[in-house]
Amino acid sequence: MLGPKPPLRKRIARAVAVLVVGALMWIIIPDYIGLLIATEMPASALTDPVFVLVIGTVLTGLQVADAMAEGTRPSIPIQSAVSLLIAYYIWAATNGGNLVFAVGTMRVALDFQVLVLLVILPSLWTAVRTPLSYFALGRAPAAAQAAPAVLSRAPGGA
Amino acid sequence: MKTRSRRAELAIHGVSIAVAVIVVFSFASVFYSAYADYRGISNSVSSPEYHHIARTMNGSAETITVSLTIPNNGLYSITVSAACPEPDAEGNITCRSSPVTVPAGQQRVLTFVMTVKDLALFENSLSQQVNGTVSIQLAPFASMTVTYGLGNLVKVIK
Repeated sequence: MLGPKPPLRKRIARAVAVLVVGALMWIIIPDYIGLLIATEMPASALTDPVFVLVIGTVLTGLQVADAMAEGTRPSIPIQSAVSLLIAYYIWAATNGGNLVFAVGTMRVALDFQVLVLLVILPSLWTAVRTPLSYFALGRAPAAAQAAPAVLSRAPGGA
Repeated sequence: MKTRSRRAELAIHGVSIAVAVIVVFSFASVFYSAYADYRGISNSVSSPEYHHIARTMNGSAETITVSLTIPNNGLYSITVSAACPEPDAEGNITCRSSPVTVPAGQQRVLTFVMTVKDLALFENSLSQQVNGTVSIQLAPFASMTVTYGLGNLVKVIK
């Protein structure tokens, strides 16, 4: 559901903050982790610098676009795309819940697909919930009375 | 219309809360169970009263029987198995063990029998490179398989 559109200055400030945090969270720190685990866990996508750079950049870019588009219709698909990409990022980073690594002379194989699904479940739900809230609540005239900003941007709501 | 919108809002909030509760409860219970099981199995391995190792010599052959009490202090049942999935080229080593499923709050004994037909050949050949595996499955969330050299096990027992 769309909230009120903040002033441009506030959106820019938020976008800059999102850019810094996103770059750290999705590119710099994962790249560093990838270097650390490159020999022990080659199956993880984090050990592929191209993956981290490309997906991390796209994800950060989408989050920045979302911050800039806050309170407008384009933020709905952007939010869904961000959530889906986060889910994919986690899935790829954990190799779908299958990791193999060495501890001394031992080889340890971990299989935790259900846990990975639980981790990405909130992201997947957010990807569905965002457009669902917009269409289910944004269209309703009654909801618009409570939140006029929603009515003005809802398709067929006005 | 207002009621419909309110219902939709409640439904979306309800699903969001359900997703959050499922994720938090699952992770809390899985990590608690994994920690409790780890502590229980570690105590069994380190306490002489919970494990028993027998060596039987029959000519040049030797049979090593390892019995380990597996307690399950967690919330989910665990399945533990031991095997040597890739026999050595000479067929000098054979392993025998049945998977043990331990319900929550109970304990079972896992017995692993390894037979070395020719001990001298084992000590001077590639048989020492034969790998054994121990699998622990925390159903239905995760499983861990540890692969180790059986030669190391024999050396440790000696």
